[in-house]
Amino acid sequence: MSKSLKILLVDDFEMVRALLRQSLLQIGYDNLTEAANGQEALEKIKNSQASGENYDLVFIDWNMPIMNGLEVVKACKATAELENIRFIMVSAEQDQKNIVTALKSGVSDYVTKPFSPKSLALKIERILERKTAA
Amino acid sequence: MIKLDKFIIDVIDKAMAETFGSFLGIKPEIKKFSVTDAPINTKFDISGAVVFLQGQIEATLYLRVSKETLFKLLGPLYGKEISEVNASVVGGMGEITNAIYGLAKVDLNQNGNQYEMALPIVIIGQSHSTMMELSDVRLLIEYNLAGEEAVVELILGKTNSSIQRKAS
Repeated sequence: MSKSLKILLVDDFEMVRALLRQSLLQIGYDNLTEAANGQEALEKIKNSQASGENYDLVFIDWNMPIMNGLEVVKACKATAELENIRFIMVSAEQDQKNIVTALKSGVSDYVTKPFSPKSLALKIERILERKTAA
Repeated sequence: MIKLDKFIIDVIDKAMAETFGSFLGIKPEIKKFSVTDAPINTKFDISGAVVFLQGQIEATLYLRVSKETLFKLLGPLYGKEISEVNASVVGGMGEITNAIYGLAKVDLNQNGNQYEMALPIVIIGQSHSTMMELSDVRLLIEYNLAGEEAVVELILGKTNSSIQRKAS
């Protein structure tokens, strides 16, 4: 069954975007767009907002060329029209320090590679529950 | 500090299983493993490499496959036939190596180590080999990846090698 979230997948590696895409399709999310770096992501986020259809959720890599994931998150959180977009940081790093830094910057959750469709589904459910409760 | 014992084989095998299972739906199977300080010629032509850094470089992990194997593994994921070593293939190999390292690092750090973040590199070239110092020693773990061959090679530096030799 198709679920209605509009999701952006941001990673400089095609493989990770492909893995995210396949995993999300498996759990029913098919409104997916991709970006290969932070700058491209921010442009897509702004264009989407301008057309009246903000992204609900962004999976974003931390380390990317041109503009990293944390910079994208901070730019969105500093913009009133984009501050409600939820971000899930994707990284191979599982260090608590990095997770705390990401969460303090406005990231809603953190997923480490390799990930499974089930783990992504749980992360999304948790974020949606928090959104409903807020 | 990494030592050549069953623990490190288990750590690597667990990281391999989780990485290939999650990324590609493959269950890697160890065919055999060995320890050697003799030079070897690899028949593989793509390697992902990453160092275990803890103040100093203590070990280097290589994942070695043939390009044909990598094409077969990544093709279904990318949804297209792959026939050349391009940025997507190199990126894929880097990501697989990165994930294996990240998982191994967690297990090693839970055992009192403090391995740091390290970025993988990908080496391409037919039958490339790795330079070793005279006192280095390497662990070779040969894998069956859904009918394809792969090797994980862990090269330990001088300090670890000497500990291993005293112990053996």
